[in-house]
Amino acid sequence: MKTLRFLFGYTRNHRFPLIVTVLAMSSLTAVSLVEPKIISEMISIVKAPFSTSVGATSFAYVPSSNFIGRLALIGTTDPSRLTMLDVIGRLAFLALVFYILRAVLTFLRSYAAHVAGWGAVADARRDIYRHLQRLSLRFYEDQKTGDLMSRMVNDSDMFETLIAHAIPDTIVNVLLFFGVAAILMGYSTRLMLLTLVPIPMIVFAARGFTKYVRPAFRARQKELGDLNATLNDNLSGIREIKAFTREDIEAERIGAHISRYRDSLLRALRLMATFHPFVEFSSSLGTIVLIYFGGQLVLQETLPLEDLVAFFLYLNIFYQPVRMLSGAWENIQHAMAGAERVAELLHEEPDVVERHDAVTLPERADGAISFNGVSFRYVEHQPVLEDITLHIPAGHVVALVGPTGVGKSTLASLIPRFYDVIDGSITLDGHDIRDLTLRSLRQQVSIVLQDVFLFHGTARDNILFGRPDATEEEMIQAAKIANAHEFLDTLPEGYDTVIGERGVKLSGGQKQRLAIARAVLKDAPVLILDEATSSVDTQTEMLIQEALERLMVGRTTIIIAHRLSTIRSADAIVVLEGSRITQTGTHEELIVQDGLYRQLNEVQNEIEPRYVMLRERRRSAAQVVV
Amino acid sequence: MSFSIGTTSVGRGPGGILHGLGDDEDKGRVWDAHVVSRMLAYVKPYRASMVTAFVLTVISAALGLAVPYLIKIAIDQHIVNRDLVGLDLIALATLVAFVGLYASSAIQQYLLSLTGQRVLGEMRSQLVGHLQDLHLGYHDTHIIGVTISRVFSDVGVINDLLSQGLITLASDVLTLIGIVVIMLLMDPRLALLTFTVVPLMVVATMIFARHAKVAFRETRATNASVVGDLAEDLAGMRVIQAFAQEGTEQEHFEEVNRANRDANVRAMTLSFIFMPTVQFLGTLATAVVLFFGGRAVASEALTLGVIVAFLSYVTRFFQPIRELSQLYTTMQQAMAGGERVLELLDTRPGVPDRSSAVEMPAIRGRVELRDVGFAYRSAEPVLRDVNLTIEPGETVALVGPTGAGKTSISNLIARFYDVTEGAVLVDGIDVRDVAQRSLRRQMGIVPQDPYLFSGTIADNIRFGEPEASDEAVREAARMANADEFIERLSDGYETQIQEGGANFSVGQRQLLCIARAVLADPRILILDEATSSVDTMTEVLIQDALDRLLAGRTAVVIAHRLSTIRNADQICVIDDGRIVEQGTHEELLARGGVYRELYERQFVSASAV
Ligand SMILES: Nc1ncnc2c1ncn2[C@@H]1O[C@H](COP(=O)(O)OP(=O)(O)OP(=O)(O)O)[C@@H](O)[C@H]1O
Ligand SMILES: Nc1ncnc2c1ncn2[C@@H]1O[C@H](COP(=O)(O)OP(=O)(O)OP(=O)(O)O)[C@@H](O)[C@H]1O
Ligand SMILES: [Mg+2]
Ligand SMILES: [Mg+2]
Repeated sequence: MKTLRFLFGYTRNHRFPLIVTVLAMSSLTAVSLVEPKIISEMISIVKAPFSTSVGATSFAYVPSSNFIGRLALIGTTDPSRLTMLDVIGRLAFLALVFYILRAVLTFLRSYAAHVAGWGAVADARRDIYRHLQRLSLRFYEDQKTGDLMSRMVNDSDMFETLIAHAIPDTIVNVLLFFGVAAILMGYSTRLMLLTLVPIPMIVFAARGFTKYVRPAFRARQKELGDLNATLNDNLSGIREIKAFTREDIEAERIGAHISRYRDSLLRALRLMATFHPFVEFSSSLGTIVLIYFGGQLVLQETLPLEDLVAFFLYLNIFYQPVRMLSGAWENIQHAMAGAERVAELLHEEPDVVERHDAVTLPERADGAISFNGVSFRYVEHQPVLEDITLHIPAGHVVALVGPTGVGKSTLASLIPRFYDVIDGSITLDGHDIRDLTLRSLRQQVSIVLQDVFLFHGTARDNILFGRPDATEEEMIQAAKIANAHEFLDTLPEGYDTVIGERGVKLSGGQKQRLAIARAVLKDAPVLILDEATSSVDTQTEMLIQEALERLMVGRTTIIIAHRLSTIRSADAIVVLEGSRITQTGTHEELIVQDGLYRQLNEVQNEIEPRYVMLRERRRSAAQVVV
Repeated sequence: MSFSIGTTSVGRGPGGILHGLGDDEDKGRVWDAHVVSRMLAYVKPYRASMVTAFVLTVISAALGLAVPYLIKIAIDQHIVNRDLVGLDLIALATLVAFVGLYASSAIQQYLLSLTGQRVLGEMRSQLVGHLQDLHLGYHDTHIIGVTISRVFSDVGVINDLLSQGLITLASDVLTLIGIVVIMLLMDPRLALLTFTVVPLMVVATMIFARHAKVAFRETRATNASVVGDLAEDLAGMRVIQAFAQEGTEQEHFEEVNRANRDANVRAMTLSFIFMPTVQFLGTLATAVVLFFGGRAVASEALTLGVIVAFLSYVTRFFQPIRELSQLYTTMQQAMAGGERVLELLDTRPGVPDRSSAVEMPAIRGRVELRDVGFAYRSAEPVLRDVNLTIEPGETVALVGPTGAGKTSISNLIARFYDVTEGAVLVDGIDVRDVAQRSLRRQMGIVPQDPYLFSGTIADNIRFGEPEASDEAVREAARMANADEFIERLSDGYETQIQEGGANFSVGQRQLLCIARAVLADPRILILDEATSSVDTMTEVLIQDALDRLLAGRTAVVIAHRLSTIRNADQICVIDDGRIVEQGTHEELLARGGVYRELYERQFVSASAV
């Protein structure tokens, strides 16, 4: 029920087309009901020869009392003057008018319904997309991209099925069903009731169907998502697959996924393949009832022949809604399965949320950052940072140093609030960052992430990412600071070179330099460089550093680097060990202290004999082996 | 290279620009004998099911046609003549007909979907298998999201044709013929009158089909944009959030999304004009029957039963026609889809195994690059005249500015790409003469941009050796110095790694990748910036461990941090695609060239402070 309400929420924006749909549908129902009336009127005329055996010449038209009779007489004052052929002609013309009407209404109905249906799909996708952007990184770490995509594309498509097909079909067919039932009652109540005999069978079948098919559909949508995710993972790691010659194993593994998806589909199809023919069969039992009992009634002369004929014609319309309803029912089940998955996603709460009274930071912050007793962990009971207190005055350069996995990147990612601290607080210019709007906070922070992500597009698009309205000069200036201009300039298409998905067509260092240019162009008061030059050679690194030095003036900068040569000039170096800060100071201060920093420095400058020794040892070992 | 789903290509830049990834030559053909025959090959193993389904289709079509006739008999012979026994018999016959009709159509439907889904599964598996075989150059230029949607949507439309379409075609044509014959037999004049609307219908269908082709292509293209856009934004969400670009991205997405919605509505609108038109033409025929048939009954030239049956047949007559016109669209889509799928299946790997390729014998470890030239794109040479010999057991370091071609050299040794000039030889055998997998199986590679798969840590370390024991996994992790942090995790080696390794620090990811390469027990080890994000202390520990491992094995090490490579036997300085200096650390220092400059910048300046 909740799912249904959720789904109906999406019809709200499309009231007008939906009203048109409903109006068109109701009219359509009325028109469809009239059609057999015309035929039966006609048959009552042509039946005259049978019952009276009087020649056609002595025909006198007695119109039925219903409105068809009246419509047939439009434009004549004296019905008795009409010949039989005149009347048939008039009735056939009337039928034609109704058919045209039906065609127009059919179009209107489908059109309006689809405008609403696709509109709702687009709305749902927009909402999901907006929601996805609000969700914090933690969510993405737990989710598989392929599955998210599948929810967004395959599952939301189901809204169209529901709104454009299932709902209109349901309404129209329920109306039609009762309409026909009422008319049939008018002919013969007994016969009408008799033809209802199969209905309980159908209701029973539909209930069983619902019970089994919804889980089957849900399983199917889930398998589809899984398959998508696996394939996405696989193609993202294709280089590894080849390097480790896993091609066959992988093909087999995904093949197994494909089979599972197929089987889940077949389970649903099997149910459908039994349900539909069963409904069709049950409904056709009505025809048999009609032949048998109706025929007898005619023989007993309790039912005129033309009524039986009309009954036959109505019966088609009578059971058609039943058949259509069974189709609509299936669609509804399908849509619900999709909607459940979409709703699940939309109900996912972002864990980094903006306060409703969050303030917008003035245009440009000064950039003073404070960590006050900050603790953080990703996973329960595995603290990453504990009791971190650190004051970075505006315009200072601070370097973070520490072993792999200690939490340097984590600490940096707390500043733009990718994650929320568990304990303590972080302030920017004295404002707790949780009191600021996310947008205004993140606009103050320019970051070069450790694992570079570039978008598929041109180098230009990527540099302009943070400031699409920057001028050509500004862009080139940023590229020059990042030392990217040199190599971009030599490319035949320059800045318009397409760099491939995630920048696959660039070397590691080239990617990093684009990422630096992107961050530089953003021109924010806080700059975070997380291993920004780890894949860049030392000479280029130096050039970049010199350029950045100039840029750092007046900016608060946080540098993370393992290559200590890059951080020596920092105003303060912060050493992280375990989950805490163990040392803080300038290079000169730390180098004389007995601690990790000095050790790291020593290792980096370690005297060569060690390597010479290692090399010799390996050589002699090799001689033994060969 | 025409591989995106639609004419609008899917790749997009942050500026919202769509970049061409190939064009979609949707020829809109309804029948392409080549495509069809290739596709039919997939159905062949299921010939028995298909024939059964076909027979059942014929049966249900025939039974469907019999029912109106039975009703006619009921009215004309039994009701009018007051024949009670006959009426009973007819009712019974109708019942039998219905049971037969729905039983056969149920079995037929099931058989078809079963076959269809099996074929679909096989086709998808084959596609996926083929994707694994395609060389890296192919994957460099194709967007993952688009490739995935190819595996789903294009294969899906082919299935529509194979499993449902062909049988519908047959059954519709048969039904049509049956109805025409019955109607002609019952009353030729009335029948011919009814058929007068058929030409109109044919014209309407043709007009529709022409427009529909364009419209459906548009829906596919816009749908591909939505998928492509989404895939990338999801992957780059961290960057989007970091740069506070949600608004721009949202706008862009909405644009694509709207375009998709409008294309769908447009395509549907066509159907909505077409369907009622066909329906109307069908009812026109009913009006004709009523008008002329009514007169004929009046003049007793026709019985009432014939009219009732005729009306019923007329309705049935137009249904197959409607279906056929729908089938027309399905066929077009299937042909286009089939063509694209075949194109993918027919894309030969750019790095093929020769038919004469032999298994690489156990590698001793001599690697030689002989006058190697290489380019990713033909006009832009990346490597020129590279000559390099690595003796078995030697460790060679490649250093040089970014973009110089170091990674490219390692790509050539592992034969991810083929040289454009010269040759790469391993133990004196040209790598192009051996089966590439047998070559790589003996190599261990830590790429510069390593990827971890979703799965457990142990699964990932075992990647190259699925059979490896837990102890071997631990040993490899120890060598890579990864065991320490793994042990600290509450689930240890069974900890789930998220897609791409998102829940580990970049350095930790590198350690895991080293463990993965170590476990593969390689004869040649390639480490491309394998420790660039690892702190120096850990790096030293890894180096010591690797040193023991490397005894007797060949290694190629690429690094910017010179401390990483000082213990190499030989150092090659690469600049702008050439080897500019070569020798041991001491030799190069003594020479006073580029290397010395690099070295001094990194060390001497460091110790001077
Ligand atoms: N998204 C995440 N979910 C769970 N754990 C995480 C996540 N990201 C990082 N971790 C863990 O938190 C710790 C700190 O990671 P972080 O990336 O901050 O390290 P780091 O100091 O930047 O290391 P490196 O020098 O390797 O980049 C690591 O142990 C890592 O495994
Ligand atoms: N897949 C690719 N397609 C096209 N061009 C590429 C591709 N990979 C690399 N290139 C280009 O080839 C050149 C050499 O790249 P390579 O990756 O070999 O450099 P590298 O020496 O490894 O640099 P780095 O130190 O930055 O990793 C670069 O100019 C790069 O842009
Ligand atoms: Mg880090
Ligand atoms: Mg490289």
